Amino acid sequence: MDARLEKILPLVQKPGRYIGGELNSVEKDPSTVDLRFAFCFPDTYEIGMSHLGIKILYYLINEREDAYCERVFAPWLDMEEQMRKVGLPLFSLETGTPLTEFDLIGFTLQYEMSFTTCLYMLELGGIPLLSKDRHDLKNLVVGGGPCACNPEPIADFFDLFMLGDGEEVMMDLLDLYKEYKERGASKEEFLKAASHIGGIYVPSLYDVSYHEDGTVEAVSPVGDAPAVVRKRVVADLDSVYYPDKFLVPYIDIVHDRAVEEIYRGCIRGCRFCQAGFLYRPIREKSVSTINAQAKRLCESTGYDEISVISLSTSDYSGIQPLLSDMADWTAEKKINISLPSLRIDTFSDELVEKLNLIRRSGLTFAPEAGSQRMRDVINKNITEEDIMKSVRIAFANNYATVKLYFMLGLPYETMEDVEAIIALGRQIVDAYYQNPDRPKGRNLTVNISASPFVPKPFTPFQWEPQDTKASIEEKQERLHELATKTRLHVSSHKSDTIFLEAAFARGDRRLGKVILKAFEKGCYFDSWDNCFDIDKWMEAFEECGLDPAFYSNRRRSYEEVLPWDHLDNGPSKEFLIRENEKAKQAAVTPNCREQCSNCGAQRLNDGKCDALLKIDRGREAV
Amino acid sequence: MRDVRIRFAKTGKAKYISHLDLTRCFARAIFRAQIPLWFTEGFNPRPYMNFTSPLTLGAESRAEALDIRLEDESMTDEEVAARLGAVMPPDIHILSAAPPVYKMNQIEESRYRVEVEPSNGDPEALAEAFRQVSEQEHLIVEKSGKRGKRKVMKQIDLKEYIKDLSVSTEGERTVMEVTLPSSSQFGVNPRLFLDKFLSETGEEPVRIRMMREAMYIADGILFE
Repeated sequence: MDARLEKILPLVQKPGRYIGGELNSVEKDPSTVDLRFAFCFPDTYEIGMSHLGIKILYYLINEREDAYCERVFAPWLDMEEQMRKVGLPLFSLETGTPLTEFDLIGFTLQYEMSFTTCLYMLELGGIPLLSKDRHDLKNLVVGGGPCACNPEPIADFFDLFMLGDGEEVMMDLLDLYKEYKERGASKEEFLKAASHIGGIYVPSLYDVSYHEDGTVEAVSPVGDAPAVVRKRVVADLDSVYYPDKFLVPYIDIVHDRAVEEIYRGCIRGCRFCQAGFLYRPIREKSVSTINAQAKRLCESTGYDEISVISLSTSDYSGIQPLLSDMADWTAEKKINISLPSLRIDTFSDELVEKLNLIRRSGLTFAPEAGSQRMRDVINKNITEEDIMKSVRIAFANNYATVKLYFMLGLPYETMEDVEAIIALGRQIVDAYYQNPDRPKGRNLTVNISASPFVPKPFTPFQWEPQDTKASIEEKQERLHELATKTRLHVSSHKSDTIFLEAAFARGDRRLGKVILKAFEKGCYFDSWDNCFDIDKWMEAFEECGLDPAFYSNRRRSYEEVLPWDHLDNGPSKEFLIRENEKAKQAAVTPNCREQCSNCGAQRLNDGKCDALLKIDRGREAV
Repeated sequence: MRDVRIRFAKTGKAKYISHLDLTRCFARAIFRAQIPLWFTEGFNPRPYMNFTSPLTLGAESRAEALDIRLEDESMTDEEVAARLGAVMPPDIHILSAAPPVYKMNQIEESRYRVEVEPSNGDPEALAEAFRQVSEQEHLIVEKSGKRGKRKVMKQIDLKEYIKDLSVSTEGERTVMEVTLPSSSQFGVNPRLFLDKFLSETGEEPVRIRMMREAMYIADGILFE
């Protein structure tokens, strides 16, 4: 270990964040590989290590004999101070190698507020921040993950982005890089060639022109770069790589358990939800694959908990057989199965019994909106009766704490819709006290959490303005005013970060200047309330002559060229317009299993979508 | 049901692993090794494990101990050691498995080896300076302790607790070997000891290393 690192580790909190050497970490001799890849997560160790994507890609890259993938996380503030003091540049956990030694530096972009933390990591690693200032093929900075669906605000810093599922495009990228590196090719030559790999977007090969009012006039490819970049889609989840082991950290992390992904995409089409559209089309893993992978993971990690994940787990077509197959071995080994992302309308007595949910911390439901009209606007497709039925089951199972998630500032929302949130809360409180069998001596707590809505690209609400700060605050006050009933606790998100998140989510390339300026003013770790400084951000916007409201609070017309129109992430614009028009009428769209709405995402998967498949299977069963 | 005492070394990077994290690490390792552990009875069954008193963060050890209780007695000590050894993270090494001879709470003191690489590159001079410190009449240090449930700082005289101190040099390093109390009631950790010697001599070392070499019960009998 580096003597400088040894010297400072005793001086920082949780030194376990910076040492690596965890169970199942990959050890290779760097001198024996052709490619060195630094997988960077722009947040702390505890958060980054909880992320599934990093585990998949870490082991996938390390399966290659010619490559070594190592992990890099953002050092917390105390560590940063010590590193700067002793002149220690940002390093990888596996071998303690400085960032400058890596061929590729890859960031996963999970949330907009981590953009400046990417810059922080590059700077701490001694890597020039702007793509145009990095002249060599070495230290190529690449990005992927959900925020790569519109990476325009950070286009100046990255050499290329990978759109869609990472498993296949990453391998193609590494193959090409190796070939060009061996040939001693220039960065320009490589980027030109990379732009022809499906799913790879090289922002420097596109010129953006603007109208006088600041809207985009056109995005034009330079040379022979493709006019539209389509995201990559893994066709078959049964055969795609999934690790048979996970890194098992020493220190406590946010999600410290085995994780088994069961399908990608979502059949629901809730109009506010970016993930629900971005990960289409639906691709399911088979029950037998899931069961075998889950078992192997528990054996190789020693975890006593496995989380079965997807965007809406109870919508998995084989959920019942899967749970009974898994129960066979998990019960014997005292392993808990956790099922996050359960829909309120699928909550049942059997599920409660199977999962022993009751013993666990809390039951959380997400009605998202208080009134039926508003739930129809967002296409949540649940009724008040669904909600009441589920809470009654919870109460009958001795449950006395319920948490409900709502959003504030949804498009077409009125104050009556906001007030309906409290009305629903009251109904739930009444239902509890009307139950004659309620546990004696225990009082009910209903926690209502209301978060401001952020419109995102590739959703039907991508044209809609975010509610203004003043309006959100008025609605929050109204909620607190109405929540007079004891047992009803309202918490609302106060942070200003969501207004910036909205600007970056639908931002254009001009925002790169703002992000750089804000970083220079000391903004990073912006998703941490104690680090976020709205004043510095507003100064940065002002100095760049830009207004965040232009991006956040402006309604776009359907004709406007959106900054991400040259990136195809699946759902077609026609479909999204249809859905937004239906939202205005509070008209619902059936889920994909009931009826295909022709969203267009199946184009990227040779016309295949497992939601459609299941309709056929259902008919056969009848 | 029978108890097995696992002896293990915690070196290299593992010295930055806290006691609590180590507990979790072993629980998972035993599970991976498919050792039939006995679970405590009650509402929330937990695997039965009993560790020696915590080692200070940043110190290594060649003499840690952990007792586990096996549900199935047919597994031999050798097999327990072999299975566990195969699944541990890189810097934790299983040394042996055997029936416990003494009780954990009989442990009274530990032998430590403390290595210091001086900033001026002269380990002989530092050794001499350390010897002089050790000859002072008192070595008063502040040690965190408890009064009732409250955490308080107490003053203790290290002189009363330092036993069998030897100071020597080895290559570029000054080496101290010392025996300090480490019972479940009272312990002096090697960091406290070393920091006193460093502050008395004004040394800001390039590198330090602290290693627990052995543990003893009363009358200097080796803990087994």
